[in-house]
Amino acid sequence: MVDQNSIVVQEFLLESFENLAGISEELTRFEKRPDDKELLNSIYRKVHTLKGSASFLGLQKLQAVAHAAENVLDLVRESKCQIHENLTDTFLKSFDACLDILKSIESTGEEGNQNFEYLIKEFEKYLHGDIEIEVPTLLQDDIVESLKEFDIPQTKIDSTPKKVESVEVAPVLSKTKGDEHVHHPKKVEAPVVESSEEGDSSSAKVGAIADSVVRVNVKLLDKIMNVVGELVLNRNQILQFANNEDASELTRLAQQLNIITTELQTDIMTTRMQPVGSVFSKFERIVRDLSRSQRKRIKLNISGKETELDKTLLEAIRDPLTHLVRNAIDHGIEAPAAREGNGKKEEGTISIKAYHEGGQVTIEISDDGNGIDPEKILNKAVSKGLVSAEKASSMSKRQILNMIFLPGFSTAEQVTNISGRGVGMDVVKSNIEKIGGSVDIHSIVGEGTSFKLKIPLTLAIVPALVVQSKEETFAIPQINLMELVRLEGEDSAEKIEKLHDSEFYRLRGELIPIFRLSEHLLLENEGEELQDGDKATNIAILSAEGRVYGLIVDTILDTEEIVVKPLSRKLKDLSIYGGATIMGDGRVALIIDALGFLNHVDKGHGHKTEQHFNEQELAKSALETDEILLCSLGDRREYGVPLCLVSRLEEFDRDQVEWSGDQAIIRYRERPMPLLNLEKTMNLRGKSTLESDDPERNISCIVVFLRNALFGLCVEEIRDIAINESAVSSQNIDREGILGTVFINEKTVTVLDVHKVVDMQKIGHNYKSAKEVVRNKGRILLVDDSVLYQRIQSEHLKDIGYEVDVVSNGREALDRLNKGNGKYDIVLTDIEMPEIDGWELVQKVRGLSSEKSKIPIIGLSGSMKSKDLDEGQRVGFNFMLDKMNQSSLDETVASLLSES
Amino acid sequence: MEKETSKLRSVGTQITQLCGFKIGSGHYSVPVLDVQEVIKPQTVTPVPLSPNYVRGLINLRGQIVTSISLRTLFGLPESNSEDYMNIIVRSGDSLYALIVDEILDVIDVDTRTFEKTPETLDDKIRKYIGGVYKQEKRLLILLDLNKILNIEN
Repeated sequence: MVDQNSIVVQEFLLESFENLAGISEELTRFEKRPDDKELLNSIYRKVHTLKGSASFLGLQKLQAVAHAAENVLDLVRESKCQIHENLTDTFLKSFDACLDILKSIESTGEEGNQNFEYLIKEFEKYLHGDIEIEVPTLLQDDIVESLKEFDIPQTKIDSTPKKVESVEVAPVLSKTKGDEHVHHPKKVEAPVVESSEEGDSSSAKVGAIADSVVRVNVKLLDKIMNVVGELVLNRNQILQFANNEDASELTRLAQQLNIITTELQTDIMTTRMQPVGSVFSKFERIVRDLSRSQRKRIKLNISGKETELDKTLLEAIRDPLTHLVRNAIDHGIEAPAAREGNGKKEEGTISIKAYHEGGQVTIEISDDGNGIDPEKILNKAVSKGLVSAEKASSMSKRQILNMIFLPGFSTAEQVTNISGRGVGMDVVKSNIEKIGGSVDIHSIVGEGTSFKLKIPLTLAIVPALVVQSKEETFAIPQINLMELVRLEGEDSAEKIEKLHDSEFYRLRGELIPIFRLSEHLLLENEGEELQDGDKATNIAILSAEGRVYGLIVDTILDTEEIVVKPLSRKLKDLSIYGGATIMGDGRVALIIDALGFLNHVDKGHGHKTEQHFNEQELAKSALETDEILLCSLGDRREYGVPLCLVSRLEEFDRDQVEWSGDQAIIRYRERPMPLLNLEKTMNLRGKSTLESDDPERNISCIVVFLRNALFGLCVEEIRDIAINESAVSSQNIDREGILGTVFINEKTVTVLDVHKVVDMQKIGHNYKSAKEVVRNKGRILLVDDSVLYQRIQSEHLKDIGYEVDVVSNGREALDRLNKGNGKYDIVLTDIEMPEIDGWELVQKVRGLSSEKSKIPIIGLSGSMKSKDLDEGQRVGFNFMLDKMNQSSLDETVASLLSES
Repeated sequence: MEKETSKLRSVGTQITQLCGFKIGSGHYSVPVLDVQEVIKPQTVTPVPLSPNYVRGLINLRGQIVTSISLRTLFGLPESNSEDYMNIIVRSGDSLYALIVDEILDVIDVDTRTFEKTPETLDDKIRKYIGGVYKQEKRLLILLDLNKILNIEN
């Protein structure tokens, strides 16, 4: 029993932990480079020190284990015994034993009651030389190999021949024995002398370093860091004050203070920096042990060990990194046989790279193993109910891969004791995100997987964007900020699109949800509306967990280095804030947590927001502006497909295509999907890519969703997405399958009538008839001037069982209504139309004398404003609906019809 | 808090020192040793979406302090007076400011006059109370800081 709190014991523990931490790594390295005498000496010295201190403190168990290890190391040093895998194992085990004992001492003051006799016995076998060294065949090969390569045979092999009673490599050795005897004596002499010199000089060096190094408690550093944080705040305040004052001396002093503080801040941060190597080094051991137990051969490449990170961050990434490395060994790298089968080197490689990039440290862990199969992930996610089958069909590869980070997800077919228990990846992600980092995964089936971790340099002080909303100041960490968008004047209202109750902004063609900070934080407007004179809208585009959204704030002030202060325990539950900070003016500002905010918004809106992120739902909004996907076919002319029908764009390997008679089929999302040969169907000139002679050429496909199924339209090339503002002209239609022509970018584009094209295929009918199970009854008059909308909406309504008549304006609609005798059950009308528009139409209908005046009328608009809703009620619409919201339209129609 | 030192000499085994304050007409107290300092009203940054009794955050020499309105907590009507006081207390790593109407003296009380919380007290206040001291003219209510700072609702 020792007093674990006494200074001597504390010092001893500290030193011993440090020594043992390095020793395993050194040993694994030594195993690979048995000629490195310096390395061996370093190991020996550490064990020796440990033994010495242990006996000084009367720690008998520890001393016994260390002593036994030291004795065998001595043999190795004298080249009387060679290092090999089993011996390394014994050494490693003994070091672990020492660690166990030390830990026990640290916590209880006792050495613990574990028995390590067996280790000592194992060592003794080496001492007495009565052990048969099993040389694995792998090693034999290596030896033969190296003997062939080197003229001078390796002494390490020869050094223990007397002790080795049966070594199968003996014949090889004997051939070269002559040479060895010549070298042997020298070799043995030299290193020993060398080593003692080396030892002395390096211990002298250590001594010199020890004189200039002071051990500092991390807690003290933390405290200093805090004080410096406060100093930084104070400096900010003084600077602000000095800038407002007209005293040059004060300004000068303030500037000086600024410089000194910055320097101090940098220096203090440096004291907390440690090289990532201290974490990486233990991976040598993990890779060695695990690959041995799994009978895999794995090489570990580490680069960028010297890259430095804040100590707390380093601690925080230790476990996530370990998990990723274990995963790479367990799931990533295949068994040697499987690797050879795949034409890869038998030995797998895991690389760990650390480097600075854009003010952050990036750590990459990659393996050249089997990669992750997105299909498998998807199946698993669907079967586990983590994602719905519908949603799954619209997910991108990236989204799918990122599902491995979901809680409760495990891909390993077989659960091993290393990994695959479904806890881990989600923890990896949350741990990394907790410290403001991010994880990205990239994987190619058959080629390997790579994880990219981005870690901030330090936690305490972060650059942040300072914004204001309703006079309150908030800080948004730069790490989440992607860009700032400022919409000025008239633009601002138009560029924000409304869908359901949510707002979206189209950022370079991509719809992203936007939220108003003031609205979600329920900030009340005090005083004047700031926006009145200045119509500009400021959107901060943020990203959190790969999800991008915009945050509308009133004013964007500046970027500033802020000191993150945690919120009190009482406010911790508000995940919307990442903490608070003190601004230059001494006021407290809340820090917005980008992910927390998103979660908060999600919670508030429940399933609705979920719906908004559905790609198809988003695609429908394209209707509003008639977006058209431009492509070309075999005849090299420009064709267009309404974007709202497009589910995804894909490229397929020619090998994947299967044929059923003349019909090309591809397995897509676990279902056969027909690939349509447009050239053949529509009898166009040129050859379809489907029939291309070039086996290397991939097939570009526009996947459309209609008739309740997916179809792949094979095209020559997918070009662009354009917004069509011109009317669809149907004058030059010379064949079926064409909706008409539009004029885009000064070119004529033929818009395909996708529904027709699908119906022209024999297979199309099957889908159609299958669909007819769901039957609604009713006759609808659809009034809309957009040919595209007419076509798409009427096809949709027909698909779900209604009879539909289509007219292009209010006048035609009135004609129809007047002619027939109450033939229609419901009228769907656009609001903006030529001649007689929706407003006028509804008033005219309501003014009719007959029963017809009571027909239900639904007004449709792509951009519904709240005043339209009121106006609609007033003039007599039964409902005013958003054109893009198909599901609510369907529901409304159905409910109106069931009433009548 | 100059009074603190002057009163220290009279500390006997049965005397305990409390920091007294008023909220409305009630006399309350917390142990003097739990109080870091008492400060005047500060600029408060409101915390949107926080519980209603959280007034906001204040900057106390570089430390963030969460300010809590005892009036709101006790279900009393909010007073609009600008003339309130903050009692700064620490709980774990966090600092809190308890907003009270008026600070009374540091009060020496005899521990023998301590009694359990009377049943008659309003429920809203009762759950934050450790007990009462019977004084000559009135009852001095002792608040239980743990209960106040660990409010779960």
